[in-house]
Amino acid sequence: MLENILYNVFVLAAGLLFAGGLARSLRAAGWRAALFRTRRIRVSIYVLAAYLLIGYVDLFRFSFDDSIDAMSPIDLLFSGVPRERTYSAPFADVVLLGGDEDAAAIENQVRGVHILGTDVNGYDVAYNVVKGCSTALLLMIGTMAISFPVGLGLGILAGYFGGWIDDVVQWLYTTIASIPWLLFVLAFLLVFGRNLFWICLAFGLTSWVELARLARGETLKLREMNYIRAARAAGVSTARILWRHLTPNLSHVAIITFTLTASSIVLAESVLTFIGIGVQPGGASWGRMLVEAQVELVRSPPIWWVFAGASLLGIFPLVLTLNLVGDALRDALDPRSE
Amino acid sequence: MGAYIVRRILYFVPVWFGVFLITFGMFHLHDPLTLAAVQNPQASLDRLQAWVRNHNYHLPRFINLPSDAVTERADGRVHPEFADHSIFYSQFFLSARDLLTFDLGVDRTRKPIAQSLRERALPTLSIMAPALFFTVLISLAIALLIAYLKDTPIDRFVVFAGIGMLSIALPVYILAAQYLFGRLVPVVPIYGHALLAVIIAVFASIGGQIRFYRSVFLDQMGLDYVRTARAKGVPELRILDRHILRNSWIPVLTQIALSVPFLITGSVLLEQFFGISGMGDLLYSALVGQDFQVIKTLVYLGSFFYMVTALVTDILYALVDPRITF
Repeated sequence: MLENILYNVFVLAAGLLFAGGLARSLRAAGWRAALFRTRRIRVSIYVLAAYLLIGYVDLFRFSFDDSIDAMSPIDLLFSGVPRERTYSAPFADVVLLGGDEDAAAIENQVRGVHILGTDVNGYDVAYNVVKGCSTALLLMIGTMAISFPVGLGLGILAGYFGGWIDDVVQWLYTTIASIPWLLFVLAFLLVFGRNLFWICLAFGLTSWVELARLARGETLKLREMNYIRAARAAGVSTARILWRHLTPNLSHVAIITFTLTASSIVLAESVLTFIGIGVQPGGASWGRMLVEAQVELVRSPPIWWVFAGASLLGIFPLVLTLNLVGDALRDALDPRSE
Repeated sequence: MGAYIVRRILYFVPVWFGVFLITFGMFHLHDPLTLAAVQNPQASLDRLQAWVRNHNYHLPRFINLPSDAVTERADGRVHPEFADHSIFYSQFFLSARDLLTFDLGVDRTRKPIAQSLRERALPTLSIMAPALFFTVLISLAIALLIAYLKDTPIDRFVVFAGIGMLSIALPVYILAAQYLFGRLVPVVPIYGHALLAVIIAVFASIGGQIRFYRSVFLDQMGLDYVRTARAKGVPELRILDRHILRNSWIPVLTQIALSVPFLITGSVLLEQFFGISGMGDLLYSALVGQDFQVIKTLVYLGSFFYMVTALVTDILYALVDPRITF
């Protein structure tokens, strides 16, 4: 019980910290002029925020009774939706598989109408789609937690100090970039195991390269600017220059890379899971739903709703809005793209 | 130029060494028994130890010391024969030697990997070469067109459609195409045929490419020399062809080189799904069969391929842009 409370407090604190950090770096990058400019971007931001919020809310766990597993608010919301025996089409009021059920059972099944139907085991597809949000969010957070400190840190160090540090960092990211992304991730997961932790680590170890490259280039430019020289001449310590003078001015690089990397993470998850090395059976993710859909689309009549749910309501809106917002941020914040 | 190429090739050495270190670290720094347990979760200790021995994980990791010949190894045995070998009889140096002598080894069924690679190169090329060619051709053409039609509804539509297309996951493309051509309009063969795989590969990568090329062309359009040409009365089509396209070759080449990794991602999924026995299929079956030697070889091969592409791109820069001298 105590663990449970501590866990929820941790999730809450992490969420607040992240939101605060994001708001702060957006402010530092001067976002207001840029975002919310067109209606398309406004809608994208709301949709994106909704997906992230659903995923975040799903991370909380409440347990009222020790006999059943702790449930997230999303689980509680869907706890009234009954489980069918097998497929049921969207909005259908009976299951497809007729047979030996007695009248009471059929009565029970009629009670729940599934807006997206149910999968082969009778589970609600809408529930799976919603649960996929938190897997996507966890993957994003886990990957960023590795690639951000590493990428920004190494990029800034290489750009600011130059010399052998620069050589080593450049060698490191040239090497990582030389190994095709998928091969690295597959080999890594094959050796270490296949749960979310290792997937995040594999994504994190490959995706810091782009950020390091950009941060290095930007730092090379900033290093020669007058305000940095003035700080140096005034005797500000190097650590303080890096932290207070350089890092805030890299926030536009960080935010743009953040959104665009996040969109490729969601796509990568579906590819990996489709190959069979990503999220394993039993895990809730859009990639897993696509794996199921692979079998169900060739049935006659085709079971299309699992596929439609995962692709049209899961992957596509999230990736599209991430791309649109990322583009808008780049147009707005990147001085080069004028 | 010659000196530059030599220097550029010499830079292969540290990067290649880095690739070797990373691969070695991934496959050899783990505790051998844990590694075996990851592969065979329910196996008994005997089975695990046999696995360790079959994969040569009982060898010393870095240096073969005299003490290694008398202590029990991870496979549960003592190997006195280690004493007959040099101190370089270790996982690290044996892997390095294999890599330097291009000894790719054999897979699980004792078939030489080099032979598998030779057999599978052609099917992969038959998907990926046309896919790359048509992707570049089509997206350059569309990007030039919408750069010409800048700020019209057509331009805005194509840009939005491009972002939409690149937001669709590759498995979704594959499943949708399978359903469309398998059920609704069965006009193309699905299984064992490259045509559909090429179409999907082109569709999946075209959106991002169009978007990128368009921004490259628009960057050029804003420059003074284009305005001068226009002021002189040069026809718009000639400006696009002679002025803008020619000056955009550097970013275009870079983009093509960067899309090579996508070809590898694409080939794994597409070959496995459409039953084409190429490199991607080799990778997939090695994953399923947990054939470490094949995976390692493919990691090296993929990196080598990427490094050569980067080198060729750098040399091409000088050919397409006479201002670049090394």
